[in-house]
Amino acid sequence: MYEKRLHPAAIFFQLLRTMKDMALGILPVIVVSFSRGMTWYIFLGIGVFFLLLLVYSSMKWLRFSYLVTEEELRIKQGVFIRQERRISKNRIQSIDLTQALIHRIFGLTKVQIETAGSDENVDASLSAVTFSEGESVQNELKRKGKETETESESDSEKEKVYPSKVVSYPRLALTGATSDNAILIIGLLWLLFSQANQIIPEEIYQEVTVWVLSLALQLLISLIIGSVFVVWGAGIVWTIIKYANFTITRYDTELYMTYGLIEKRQRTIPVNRVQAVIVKENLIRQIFGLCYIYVEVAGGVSGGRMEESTVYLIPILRKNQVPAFLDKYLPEYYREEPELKRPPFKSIPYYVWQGLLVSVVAIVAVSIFAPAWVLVPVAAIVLFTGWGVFCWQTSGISYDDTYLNLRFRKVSRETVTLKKKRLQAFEKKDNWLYRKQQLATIDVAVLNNTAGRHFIVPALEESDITEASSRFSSVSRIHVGDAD
Amino acid sequence: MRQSPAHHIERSAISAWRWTAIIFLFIPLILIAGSIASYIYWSWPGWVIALAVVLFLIDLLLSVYLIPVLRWRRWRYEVFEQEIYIQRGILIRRRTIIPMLRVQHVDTKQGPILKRFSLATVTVSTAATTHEIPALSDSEASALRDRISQLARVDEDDV
Repeated sequence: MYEKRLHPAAIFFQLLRTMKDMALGILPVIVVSFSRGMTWYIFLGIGVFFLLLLVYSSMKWLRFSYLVTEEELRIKQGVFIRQERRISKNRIQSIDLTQALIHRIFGLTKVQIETAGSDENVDASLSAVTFSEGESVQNELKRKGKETETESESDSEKEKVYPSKVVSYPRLALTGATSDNAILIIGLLWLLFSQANQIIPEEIYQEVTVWVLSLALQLLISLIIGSVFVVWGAGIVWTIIKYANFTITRYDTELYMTYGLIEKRQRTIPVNRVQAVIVKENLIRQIFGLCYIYVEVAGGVSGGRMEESTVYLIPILRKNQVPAFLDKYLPEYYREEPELKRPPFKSIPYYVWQGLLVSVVAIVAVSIFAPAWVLVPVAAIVLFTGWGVFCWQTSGISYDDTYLNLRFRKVSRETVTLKKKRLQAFEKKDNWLYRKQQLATIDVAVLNNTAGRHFIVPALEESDITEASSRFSSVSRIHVGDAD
Repeated sequence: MRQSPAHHIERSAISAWRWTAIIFLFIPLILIAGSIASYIYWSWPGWVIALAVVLFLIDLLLSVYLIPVLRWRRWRYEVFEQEIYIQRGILIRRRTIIPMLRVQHVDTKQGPILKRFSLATVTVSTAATTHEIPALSDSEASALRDRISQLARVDEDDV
């Protein structure tokens, strides 16, 4: 047994978690038994079961111990199968302190230790320790063996002021109001307002005798509109609660983010784990000149919750402040507005054809089965083509000796800054039409916390991609001439 | 990335792929059998059988005759000291550069058909992607695997 243990509240957490996991399986049994009128036995059964769980959770707590040494974190755990895990400090990617509501009541925190790769089983987590202990574990693990000697130096560093930025509440409200979901909701609102007259048939207005009905209809519509507003508002409130007091701080080699009103999260990201910086603008934010910045980070995401896999550097920012922001917090990825090379006019067809195909098929189908509605897919042609041109207009590439910038649009516009030495693979795709027109598609892969991420920009100028690849690769011979 | 990689894969890959394709011909064969059965039992029209046969012939022509040759012609690879360069794809040509630094592990694998032709496939995995060099001769595959694994054995800076 190592000297340190979790806070006893961990027993309680374990109990809760197990019960939550089992609830679905046990509920039917309980319901069935109740209907058969065997309540007495049920209560007994639940009691015994609960007791067993309690014993198991306590055992688990008793058998769980940990220790932070000079080089590594050691954990002993397991009731039936004893397990001893050692994670070397060098292998640790990030240490997150997370506080759920219950944690905050008891003044506790959960410590999640993430290592490289997507295998959750090699990660470790301390489900409940006091907050001060959590912080000291975090600090001890962050301090590498060799750095302990220079402790006096780090004392003086404490004097140093690290750049830090807090996102204000009005800003967060703006974030919520312009989120992707908000776009859907606003679109719905617009549709409802503009169609309100059509939805209420003309005859109803004319039939004065049934004005009550029309009143009811109006009431119904205002109810719908009202509830849409409520959903929108709820989205804003949710964003504010989730990202409240979002603070980013840049330390020497780490970025530190903390946010959340009810569930407080802290993330520490070593700067050298950052694989890509992405500036993303959805349609509404693009109109208002707003964006957010997120990064792709190598390393596992504990708990595997998808929503947390997006690592925000900042949830909302003015687009024109992006260079200044990066310069301050992530100068490694700072680039002065790079000159993006856009795809040529001749590549427009490749951005448009898919949408066109879909609408043509739709027109054929609709004109066969419902000729009266044929105008709908005809309108879709305009829409899809316009969208394709819009995407074409967004695309771009820029490169120099260390960086590769890509810009593309699926729905939102994303501008990516990559470091060439971070790329896992560089791919150029073309087909004979592309080759004929000297176009090519670029596909670069970087590591992230799941399976890796590919950035693809279709139908760019072939020479640009070749040029970018030649900066990337050390074998210059393959980038010149024209064989094949 | 204008120049293709230098090396072709083994020519007998074509035969190996053909055999694989022949085995997979059982799918259109089942279709033919099905259409004949429906013709007999549920008196479906005869052109269904004709369609199934045409499908079979198209599949035969494409997957057995044409595609293996085209595929072989396109498949090329070259291993440099610091990177691996692969070209593949029939309609869409893909040229990929994988930095040696990023290679995590290399495998060779061999299914029953490849074994019959004493061929093997080399698989190169990075942390984010997996790449294949199919159908090299047994000895060449193991040599390549060893070479890549040796070249990749460099101090990783941080991933």
